Amino acid sequence: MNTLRKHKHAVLLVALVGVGIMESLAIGGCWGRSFPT
Amino acid sequence: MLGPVLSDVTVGTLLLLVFLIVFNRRVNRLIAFMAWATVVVVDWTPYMLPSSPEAPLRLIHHSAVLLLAGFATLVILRNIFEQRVVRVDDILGAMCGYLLAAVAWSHLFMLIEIFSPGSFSVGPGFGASLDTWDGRIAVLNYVSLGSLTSVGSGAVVPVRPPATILTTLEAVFGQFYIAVVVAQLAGARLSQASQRTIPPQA
Repeated sequence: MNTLRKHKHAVLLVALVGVGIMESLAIGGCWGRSFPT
Repeated sequence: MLGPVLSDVTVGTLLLLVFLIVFNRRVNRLIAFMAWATVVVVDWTPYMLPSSPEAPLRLIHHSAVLLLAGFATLVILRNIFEQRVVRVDDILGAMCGYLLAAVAWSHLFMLIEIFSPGSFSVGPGFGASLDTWDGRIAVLNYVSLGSLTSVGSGAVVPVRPPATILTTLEAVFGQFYIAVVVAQLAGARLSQASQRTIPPQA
């Protein structure tokens, strides 16, 4: 827990990059909002 | 159905992380929490009330994310300029600020596309279009990151003001962010190093 608190921006950066990759997959219609519903 | 739900859960969790990690002061936390709660309520309203009007919800969603991401960028920048000791986490924080700025700009572009449809043109062969909300989010995130990094967005171009001038301004913002933040971090690091090497006066 203490390590996470010390590296909190690292956690946020990983989350931002992860969602960014998912968004780029969405451009190709592979994930998330671009799915046909 | 799973795709949009997964997307809404992921975006909601990411914005919650931004709220928990970036904001420390009480007033800032209150503003950020209100923005985050607005995003979550607006995102989940269509699932609870399928007959709810779509356009106002989108307008509120983009405005709230713009507020949260833009405010987070400003707070991160302020923290960088207040730092006397630079740690690795502060440098990662500066990178988060850069990506959050891209998110804020992309939601500004989405608001522009709502008020002035046709502000961006998508070239033939591009995988997503601006016709659907989902496609618009993907395309304008791509445009925003391309503009911020000065790489450009290839097949997607702004064709009408204010989108034309704002994409250019975003590129200027991106350049200055890098220059100013790197200068600040390097300056703080150098002063840290010189303080370590100078022995205290007797």
